[in-house]
Amino acid sequence: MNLKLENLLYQVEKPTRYIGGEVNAYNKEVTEDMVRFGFAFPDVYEVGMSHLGMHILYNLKNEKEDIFCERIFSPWNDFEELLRKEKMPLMTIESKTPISEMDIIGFTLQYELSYTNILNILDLGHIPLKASDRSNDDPVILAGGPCAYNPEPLADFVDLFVMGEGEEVNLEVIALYKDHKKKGFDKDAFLLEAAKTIDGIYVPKFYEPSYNEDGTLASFEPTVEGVPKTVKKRIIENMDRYYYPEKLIVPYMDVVHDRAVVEIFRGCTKGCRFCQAGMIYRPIRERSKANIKENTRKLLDNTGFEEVSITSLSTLDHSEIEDVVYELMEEFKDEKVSLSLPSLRLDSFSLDIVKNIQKVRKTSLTFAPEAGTQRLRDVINKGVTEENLYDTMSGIFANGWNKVKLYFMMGLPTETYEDLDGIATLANHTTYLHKTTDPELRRNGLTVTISTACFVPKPFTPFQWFPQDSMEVFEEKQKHLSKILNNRKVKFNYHDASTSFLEAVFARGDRRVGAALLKAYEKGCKFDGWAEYFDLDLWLSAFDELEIDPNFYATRQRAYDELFPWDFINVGVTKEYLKKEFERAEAGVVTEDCRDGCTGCGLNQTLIGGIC
Amino acid sequence: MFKIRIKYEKTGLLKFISHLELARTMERSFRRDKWPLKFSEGFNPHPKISYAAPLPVGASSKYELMEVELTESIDLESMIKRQETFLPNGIKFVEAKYVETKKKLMSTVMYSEYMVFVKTDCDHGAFEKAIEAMVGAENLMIKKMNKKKKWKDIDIRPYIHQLKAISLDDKLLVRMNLSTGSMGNLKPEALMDFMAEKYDVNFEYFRVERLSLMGESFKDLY
Repeated sequence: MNLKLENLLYQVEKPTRYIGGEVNAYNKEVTEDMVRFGFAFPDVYEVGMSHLGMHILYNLKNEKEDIFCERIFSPWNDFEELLRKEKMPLMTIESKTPISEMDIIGFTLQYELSYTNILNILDLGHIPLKASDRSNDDPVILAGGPCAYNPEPLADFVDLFVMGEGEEVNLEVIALYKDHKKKGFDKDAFLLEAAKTIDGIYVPKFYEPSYNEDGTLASFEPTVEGVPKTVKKRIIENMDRYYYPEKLIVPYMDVVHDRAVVEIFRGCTKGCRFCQAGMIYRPIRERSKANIKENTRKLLDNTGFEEVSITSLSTLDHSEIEDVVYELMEEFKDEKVSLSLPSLRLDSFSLDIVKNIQKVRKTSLTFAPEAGTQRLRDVINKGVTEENLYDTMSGIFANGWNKVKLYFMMGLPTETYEDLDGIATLANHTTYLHKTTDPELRRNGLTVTISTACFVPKPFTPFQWFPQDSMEVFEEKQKHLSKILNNRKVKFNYHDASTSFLEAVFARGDRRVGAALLKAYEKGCKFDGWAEYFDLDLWLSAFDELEIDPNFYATRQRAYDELFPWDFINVGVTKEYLKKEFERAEAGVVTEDCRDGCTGCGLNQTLIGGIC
Repeated sequence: MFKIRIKYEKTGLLKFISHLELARTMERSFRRDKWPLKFSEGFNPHPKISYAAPLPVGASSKYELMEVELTESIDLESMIKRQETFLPNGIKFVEAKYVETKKKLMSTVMYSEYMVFVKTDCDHGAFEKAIEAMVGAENLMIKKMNKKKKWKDIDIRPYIHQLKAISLDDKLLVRMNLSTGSMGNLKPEALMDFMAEKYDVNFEYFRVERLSLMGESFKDLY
């Protein structure tokens, strides 16, 4: 590393963020025919390194001789200040190359509040922020991930979006890029061919939105011949037969998820109506027990992690989960590797499994009832009953747990104050259950933490028509809950409603909010996902100056026949199905897990054939 | 009991990782090489690896010591030969041997030898003068905050066992031997800051490298 950079590291907090050189990181010698790819996670190292998607794509690409994939993260503010002062550009972690020397930079869009960091990374890299200002010599800017399912707010800044799972399509894009580079690179020609020939690619410059008087979308049409009217998402069809990484970079730093991670299935069949992931990651595709065990073995051998986590949207719903857990525990018990299971559901909860894997009962168990009454839980289709919750609580208390976290949301469709009061009822009954647990079995010092998030309606869910509660209403509800949750053993956590408001604007925003994003960034907004940096006033002034009404996107009730900016994407689930589900929600009718019988979401007509 | 004592270097970019980060890194390196690690008992078993003295972030070292307990013996010669297959870039094992001692490594450390590179525009003579004054002083008082958040006056002179300036053309090096461990601990950073504050010298920055660890009577700790 050059001396100038090294000297900067002596002046910053946590220099480990920037040094690279980790075990299993790649550092290739760059050759003429290599494509240099920068994988950019728009947040700091310790957050980005916890993202499994990055590790999958990083290893997939680097295993190809002609691709060198390097990581790019947001520098923390102290390091950024130094870079700007010394007029040094942002560099990749691996080779410390200025990011502007990458051929392609791919951003992962995990949450809307990371968008200003995307602009900041480009700015620190001395790359023009707007796609229209960039030339053939600037890197191609690509983006993918769950927020790509409403790409429009970023349409001004990104050259091409990837819809769906990125493994195959990333390689196809890189191969096409390589072809174009050989014959003298012309970005427009490359983007056009990508849009025309690669499934799942959306190039914003080839599509034009038009608006009605009332501000809603009137039309969204291709502007050139040959690009698809509908962009279909990509999926990996058979997870057993497809690639998984056999190694992961081992960070020196204590990152948010500092362990080996094994994905056990994609998709979810529960159909909770607020949950975008449950809709966009369909169909469900499991990995076999043998495949999971092999993956785990290889990862542990190559990394030396002392903890492994098996991950999915609803882990206990894997069809062989009990065998998977027991066999993994058996295999690794002598090596003293601990197994962790995030994402537990209350209704298929198996006390047995948790007892076995959570050796240290001092840690907290987390569950998500999401709503305080059965009525509202039925509306959102979260099939958890009071019986489920109370049985589970009794069970864990009798086994020595004394810390439990319960997640809820506020602002759900049809919600009344009665539903909020239901949260207090659940909390109080939980403390009562602990009190009445056999004193020989229970551990004293109970804490029940109630955490309420502000509901953000997301695209491609049955609630995508629904208005978000205003910030004022959220604050009133938080005050109300604070008052009624006055049980000594109950702790109440809630987020500032303003960040959820902004999230809602970008989640269902159209192309025009991109201007507000740019203006807010220019005013100094960044690290919006970090409470200490989020500045609502700066954002509001940005909207105000551009005469964009953020409430139009967040708190407006939308008409059933409104054209949405994301309707041009085929995620498999049809709009008709979502409408039907919204109607069932309003009537409080539950939709069963589709593993128990197809509910007609449309996946097998639009995306995959046959039975799902 | 199979206890290995390892002398190692921590250099390059790894000088920026903290002691805690190093400890995690070492455990994982041994797991990758499938060492038969001995684990502690209880709910949260961890391998029995101990260190002589933690190195601050930013300092490099040619002489660090750790001890690792195993359930069975491994061949040390072949282990040293294949170290690049399981160690990260920046950690180098210099020597390893089996030891019988039950004493905690940390309790036997008494002194560290450091070489400090100083970047300064000052005349080197000024540094030599300051060092001469410090060595000749009866006591050198600094204010340190104790655990109870109270400022206390501490005399650091007894913790300085050697202090010498070495001038190599335009480069200035300061070689020092300072108390390390539970009987008294003085960090080179504290000494350098004291020097700049109390004497007529200043520097742009300095870089620290540990040269050796010693026990009682300044004996080599390895």
